[in-house]
Amino acid sequence: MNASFTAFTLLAQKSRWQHMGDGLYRSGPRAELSDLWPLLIVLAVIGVATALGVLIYKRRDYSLPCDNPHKLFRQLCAAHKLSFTNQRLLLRLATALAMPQPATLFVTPSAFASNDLPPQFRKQAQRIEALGQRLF
Amino acid sequence: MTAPLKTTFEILSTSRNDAAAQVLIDAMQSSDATVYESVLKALVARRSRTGHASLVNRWHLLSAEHRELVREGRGKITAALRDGVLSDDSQTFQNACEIVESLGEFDLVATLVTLSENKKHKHSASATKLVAHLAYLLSEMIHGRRDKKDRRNSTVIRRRVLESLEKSVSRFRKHQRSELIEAFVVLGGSSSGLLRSIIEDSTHACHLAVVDALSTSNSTAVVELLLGFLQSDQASLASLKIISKRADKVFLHHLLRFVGNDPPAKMKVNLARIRGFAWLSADGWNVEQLDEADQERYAALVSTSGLKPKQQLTLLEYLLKKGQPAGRAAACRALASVQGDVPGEVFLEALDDTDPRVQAAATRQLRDRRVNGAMGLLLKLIDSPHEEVRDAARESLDKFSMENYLSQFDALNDDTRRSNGKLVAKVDKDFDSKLAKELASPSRKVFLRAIEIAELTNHVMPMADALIERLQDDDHLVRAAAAETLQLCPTAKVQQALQQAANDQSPTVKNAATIALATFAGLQLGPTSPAESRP
Repeated sequence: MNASFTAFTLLAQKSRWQHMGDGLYRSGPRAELSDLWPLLIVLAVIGVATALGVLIYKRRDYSLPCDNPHKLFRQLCAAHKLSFTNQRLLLRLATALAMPQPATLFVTPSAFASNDLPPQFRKQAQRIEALGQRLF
Repeated sequence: MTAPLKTTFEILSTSRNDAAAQVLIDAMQSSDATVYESVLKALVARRSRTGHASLVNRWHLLSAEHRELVREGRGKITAALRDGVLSDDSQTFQNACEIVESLGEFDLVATLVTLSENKKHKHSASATKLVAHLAYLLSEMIHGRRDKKDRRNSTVIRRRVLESLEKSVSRFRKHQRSELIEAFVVLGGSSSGLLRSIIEDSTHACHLAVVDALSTSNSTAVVELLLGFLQSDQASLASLKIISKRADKVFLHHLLRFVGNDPPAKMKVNLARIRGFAWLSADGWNVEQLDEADQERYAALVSTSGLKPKQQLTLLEYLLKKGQPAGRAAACRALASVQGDVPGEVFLEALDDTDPRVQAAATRQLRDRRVNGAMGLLLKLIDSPHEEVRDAARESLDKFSMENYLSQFDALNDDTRRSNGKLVAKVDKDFDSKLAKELASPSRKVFLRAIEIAELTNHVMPMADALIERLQDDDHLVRAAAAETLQLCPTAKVQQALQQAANDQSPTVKNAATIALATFAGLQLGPTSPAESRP
């Protein structure tokens, strides 16, 4: 009787060592790579956004040393507050006149004379001449 | 320039985008004057070696005004200039050299020296010339002739340039470029220990080149260096030889100014060691070419130099005859210090000179050179219309002073007392005041001697006041002598004083005063103050 009672008591008890390794390394369920996708996506978005930000910052920061003819053109356009369409027009004109750099237009008053414009710019002669007056 | 164009060039000048330099270089082809000028300014302002190189390349095409714009870039375009100097292209090299010379870019001296030493290089000779010229420019800059706008520290620049040249001196055996040695000499000046040691050391490889440079260079530094030797305690024989070898007028002019009218003792010692001057035997040399002030200095130089006395006499006599007034006077003065016999006629002729300074100088020589009849001439010259001649005569007759006369008075006989007394009264400017002092002496003996001197020299009248004062003396013999002497001063003031003395307690004084007053009877008396009646 005593022996069975003791056995009953033992059966009701929880083993003292049963949860000894809980919380330790590899003790829980194994993490899968697929679980990290959301985190990786967020990091990638942040990275791309930062890179874009830096790129835009660099593009607009004219105080950085560089050797970039297009940036110089943009700097000059910004200084003269030229609209996007005017910038496009000047770029096209510089290309048509085979100028080594688009910024060369800013120091070439003769390029804006309506008589000397390439044939494809005849229609925009007035606009170009007005631009010339604005720049010189 | 319009505002937009100004904005454009502001950006092209200051942008850190190197593409701007190329835009500006391309724009140098512009036919628009405003744009072209702005392009030059912007290129100068930008720190772009290629931009500056384009300026150097086009220098020969630029107008004077445009070149002036490039000159604004002094110190900024050095790298491009170095490239230009080292360029094989002759036009670029020439342009770079012109800019270096024009801007005084002394930082390039080291490069130019290297180029100069390489005799095989086609631009070596031109580089040598430029180094020599830059050394000269720097030397002039150090010695005061500089552009006021130029704020560079000439001492620092000199140190750097001299460093390059000293290295070149050490390589002289190899390159044999004497022009570089001359540049070193020009810049080294008196502060260069190396230069001094080369001068002293006749075995030094550069000795001859240095001596040659010192003998021919007219740069201020070289002239100052040579003249500085004259001031040193014991100038080396080598340096004095160089000074004596210089035959150019520029150096002579500096030498005369440096020596001045009265050279200091140290200089006299060094000058006395110079036995000859090359300029004296140079073609076309004539003392008459010198201006008046320089002739004066020339006389001092000749008399202090180590020339033979005979030559000194010849040179000074010539100057005395042919020189300008100050020169003639200086020659006459200088003759005093020259050993040897000078004919008395030289000084006698000088006494008739139109300039009183020459007369005075000759007057001073009469006694020292023992010219015949000097005493008589000097006594005559005391009456010269020119004060300086009178003073000179008095100086020569200084033994006829009141002090000497008084000291010898007792030993002289009456005739000598009279004749010497008259001479002393004439020669000694302060005779009257000294005699009045004697008359005021408390010693009866001195007083009586003074009365005798006054009578012998006919100077009683000017002494009337001093005598009147002595009428109040305690000594009745002094009062009596004063009263007796005053009879030679017939003035109202004296008469009044004698009338008071006629009431003196002493019968001797009374008697003397009465006799004196009796001599006044019937005379037309002069003013009350005897002083006013002086001859």
